[in-house]
Amino acid sequence: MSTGSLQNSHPAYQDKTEPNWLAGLRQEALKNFETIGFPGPRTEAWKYSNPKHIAGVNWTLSAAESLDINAYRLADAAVELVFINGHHAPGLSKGSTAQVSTLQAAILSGQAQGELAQFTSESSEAFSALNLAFVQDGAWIHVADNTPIDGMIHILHVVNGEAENTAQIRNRIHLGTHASAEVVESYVGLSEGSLTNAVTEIDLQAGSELTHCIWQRGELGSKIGRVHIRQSRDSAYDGHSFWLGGEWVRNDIEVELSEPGAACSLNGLYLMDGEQHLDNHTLIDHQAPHCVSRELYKGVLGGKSTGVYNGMVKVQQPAQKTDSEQANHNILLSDSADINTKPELEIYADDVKCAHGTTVGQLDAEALLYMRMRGIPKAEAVHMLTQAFAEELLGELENEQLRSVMAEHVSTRLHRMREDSP
Amino acid sequence: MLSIKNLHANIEGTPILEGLNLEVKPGEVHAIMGPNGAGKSTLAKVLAGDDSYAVTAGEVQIEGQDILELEPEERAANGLFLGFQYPVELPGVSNSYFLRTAVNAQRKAKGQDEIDAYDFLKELKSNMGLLEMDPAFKSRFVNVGFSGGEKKRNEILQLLTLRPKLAVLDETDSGLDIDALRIVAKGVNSLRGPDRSFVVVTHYQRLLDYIVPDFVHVLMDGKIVRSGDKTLAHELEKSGYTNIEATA
Repeated sequence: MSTGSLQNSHPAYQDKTEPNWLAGLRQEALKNFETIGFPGPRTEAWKYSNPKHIAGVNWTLSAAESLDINAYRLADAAVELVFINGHHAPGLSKGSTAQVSTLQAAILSGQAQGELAQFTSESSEAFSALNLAFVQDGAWIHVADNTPIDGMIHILHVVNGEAENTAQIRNRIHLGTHASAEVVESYVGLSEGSLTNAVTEIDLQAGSELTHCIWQRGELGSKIGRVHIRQSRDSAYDGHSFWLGGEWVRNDIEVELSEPGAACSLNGLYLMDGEQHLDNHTLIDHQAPHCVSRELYKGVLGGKSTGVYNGMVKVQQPAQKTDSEQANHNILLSDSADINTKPELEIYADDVKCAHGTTVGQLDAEALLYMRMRGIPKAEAVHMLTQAFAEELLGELENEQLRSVMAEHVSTRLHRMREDSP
Repeated sequence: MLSIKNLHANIEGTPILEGLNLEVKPGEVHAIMGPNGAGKSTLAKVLAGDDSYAVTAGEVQIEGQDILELEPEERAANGLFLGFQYPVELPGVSNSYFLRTAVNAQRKAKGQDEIDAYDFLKELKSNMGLLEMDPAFKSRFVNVGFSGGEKKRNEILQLLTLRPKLAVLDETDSGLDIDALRIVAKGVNSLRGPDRSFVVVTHYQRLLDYIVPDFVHVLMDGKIVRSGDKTLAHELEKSGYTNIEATA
């Protein structure tokens, strides 16, 4: 692809009114993107997800539009920040607090300078570079030291618009020392042939605690998501991903446990059918001693869907007393569904406790027969067993309101997919 | 109630049932006894609709309706219950949710409204009381972490709550100590009545001291080779199956 039409449609390259520091970042990112290029079939990390349908398009930046987004709201959110096609929609956003703002506002105020893109992968990874070169807007959450934020913050990104249009989104969450927050990040893909490229930077200062839920919804379009988390001493990241939609989705989560005592948990549930494709890559990088990581990903795949799970846990030489557990479990509902699962461990320290495991199976035929012999029709029995399988991840959500919302969406999604199960 | 004529069934080409006949009238309790490998469990599973067995000849009717073409869930809704020899575990599915779903699925199949949640819980509580089950079992996952005896008691709880017309109990006595056996039998006996029939499959006569049958049949080599009243069970206990074979 050429970035010509992206440059032609982006104000940063047309009006040239942005501050120099940002223009500099964009120029460098653009240069990096052009050097790196899109991943191809020989790029190991993209082996099962060759993005040729993305690389072959001359993308244009999505324009703002007005949409009825009420169906996607989170009723229990204290603050709801809405973006449509990567453009902030202040009229649709609800609630406000000084701590929650937008990237564009942080650029204007100067707060973004020296904070944006400080530890992310623009120099080595194509989509991050592309994102920084053409980023439009996103949430900017900056919580001061010793401040707990009450209530959930919902960042809602709806992407509609034309085919061959792309939304380039970047969110940033900074929690100061001993601050805490709960953030739900929703992506709703409504447009066939569109591309959402989102980066979320999360900077957790000492003793801070973030609960973070990523929620993929809608049926259409490609989505590339990259979450980069850097954790300081004794901070806690509690992450939950729910992949209930999306047509072609690649998601990378990268956690740096950079100081002692940091803990992270990555939970992921993916429910897929039809011809959906989802590639989950996670990297937990234990850089310091006495850090804890927990990872549990579970998937139910029906139809002709294809899934990838690649979870890397790296334990660097200084990271003694690391405690890490990682598991990935999959149920295939049809013969044509496929999952490639690969947990990986790379250990350079000698005093560590690391465990990993992965399973791929079908629904228990004996259990199904038992339920049917009690009068429960097959489709209902399949639903009960897949729901029971998903339950473990819902149980990991400590926030009860969020748990009940997600439980409802998970159940609806499972009901919808049971129709193409055998 | 149940009429089986000339039933032949095999698993992966190996014949197991070879011309089995059985008539069970409403209100009757029939015991089926026989040595290991005679086809007792196969008979129970074929009746309930386990399609790993292929039926190659014969017919099975419940209240005059052919059931061999029906799905397992349709047979259940028509009033057939199979008590499993080895009850299956359902991780993540709670006992009461499972039972309520089953009750409602059967009601729906019969065109009835869902059971009132309060009535259901009341009934469940009373059935658990009869079986001397700890109320905590209501919310535990079905059979997960249950002992052998608890699993069998849980089967009888399902039997009491689903109230089938015809119950086939497959080796319900295996693995039960004498107290558990007495409780299980109490549950089964509480359901006996003129409109309900039982087929009790067992290896040992012991169970039949508690669930007293109207008829006893000996199943060997895929066929009923002898039938009699309850005294036949005592005779078997004394002289074993070998002599039966000789006289058959």
